[in-house]
Amino acid sequence: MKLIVYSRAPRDTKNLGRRLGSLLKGGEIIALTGDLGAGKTCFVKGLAKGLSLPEQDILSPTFIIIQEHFGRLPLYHIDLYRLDEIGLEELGLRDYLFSSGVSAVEWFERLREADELNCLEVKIGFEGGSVRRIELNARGDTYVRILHDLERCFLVARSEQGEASS
Amino acid sequence: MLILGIESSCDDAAAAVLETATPGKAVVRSSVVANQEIVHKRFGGVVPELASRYHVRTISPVIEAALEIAGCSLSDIDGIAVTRGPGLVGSLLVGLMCAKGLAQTLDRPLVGVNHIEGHVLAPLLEHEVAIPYLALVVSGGHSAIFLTEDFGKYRRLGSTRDDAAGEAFDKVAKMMGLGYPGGRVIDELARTGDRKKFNFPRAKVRGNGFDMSFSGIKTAVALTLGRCGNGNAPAPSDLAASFQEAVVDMLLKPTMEAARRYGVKTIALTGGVAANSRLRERLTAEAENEGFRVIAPSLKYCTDNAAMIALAGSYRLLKGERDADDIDAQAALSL
Repeated sequence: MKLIVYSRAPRDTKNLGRRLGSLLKGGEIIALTGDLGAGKTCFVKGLAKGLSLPEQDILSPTFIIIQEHFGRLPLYHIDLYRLDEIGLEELGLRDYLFSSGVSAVEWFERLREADELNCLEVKIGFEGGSVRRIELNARGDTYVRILHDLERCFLVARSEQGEASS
Repeated sequence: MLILGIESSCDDAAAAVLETATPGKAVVRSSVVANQEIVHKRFGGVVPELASRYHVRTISPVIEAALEIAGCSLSDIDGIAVTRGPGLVGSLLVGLMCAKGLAQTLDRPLVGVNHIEGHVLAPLLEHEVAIPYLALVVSGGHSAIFLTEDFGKYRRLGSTRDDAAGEAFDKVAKMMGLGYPGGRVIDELARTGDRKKFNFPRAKVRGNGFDMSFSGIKTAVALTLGRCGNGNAPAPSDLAASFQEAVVDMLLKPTMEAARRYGVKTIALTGGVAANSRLRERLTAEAENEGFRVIAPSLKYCTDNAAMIALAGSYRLLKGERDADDIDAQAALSL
């Protein structure tokens, strides 16, 4: 299952992250891909909000690679940017990705086993100016359910907005 | 008192011997750094696995070299100060375990030091600085403004909400195909470029305090590169100069405001990005214009080194303090 969302500004990207974060139950892998400056860390700031963490706590983890946060659920914010290629068995990645916390992995494609893992892919692409095309792709049943719920969130939000304006 | 400092938080393994009798006043007897740049260059960044493996190999020779240059032996050392965070956990552990081993074998006190505290106090290695003073710490992993009120008492007035300033330099350099590390190349290129060619946004961070943000500028450069396409690519020197000017603006504004607000006399500029010539030039000009004194350690004490770690541990060792044997490395330790 796939869901495509257009974000007009960082605020929209964060909101999408927040909605997704609020639906998570633990054990999920959020696989973020997109060029430098696309808004991956921005998305994770939203995700953190959805996990009852202050978004200011989320800094770029590029320097220390793995940053742990403890909100409603543990959030492991991982950034593989500095690594050309890395395996699951390195840096204790397996322990994070298969824990009961939420792993948000930036530059997920650099993981050697990237294609074999069930996860929720979040691909952020530039669409001119501040607009981003965010493609969410469910890999595995758990993630299909999450995407269904996320889609419902959007429909509800839209109908509420419609009512408010009418 | 002779203090051995050990630092291995990122990609440099360093050791230093410091002689001190009063907190904040010290003579650096030796300071040795084994830089791994060559190891990481082909990866375009620091590779943690490689960094820790390399530390294992280099830490002992580095300590031996520091002792030899200082003209002393291990048994002359009165205390050990070691970085316990923040940094890469695998790298931190190498220095910490080594320090613990030495402290136990020699039966000397050991204190764990916050790497950032090292940067904040580094200006004292070469200058007499009256406390309180303001410290702008800018490096590849950190960007923050501290008010130093006393040894061990630092107030973080502001810090980056996303990327570190040095990280922005590295990432922009990578986008421009200039390689790693990015700071020096951009500084060089910018000298001949037009600083006003591109008007990059200066991020304003909402809320009180003196927080900064360097994520937007990275995105702005990416958009500029994308928009121009291959046909009419912008001159790298103009891009570098405009980008650098924006980063310098975003560092200076909160720093100057904080200096005025807290009525300090001195502003210290430290961390790897303190090597940036434009940042030094403009901070010095603007601060001195308003009557502040600006000091920056020489380059060898701006970048990661163990002399600053020894200094940051010295005031505790002088008081006879020591940390417990089970002291741990903390990747995300804050100051």
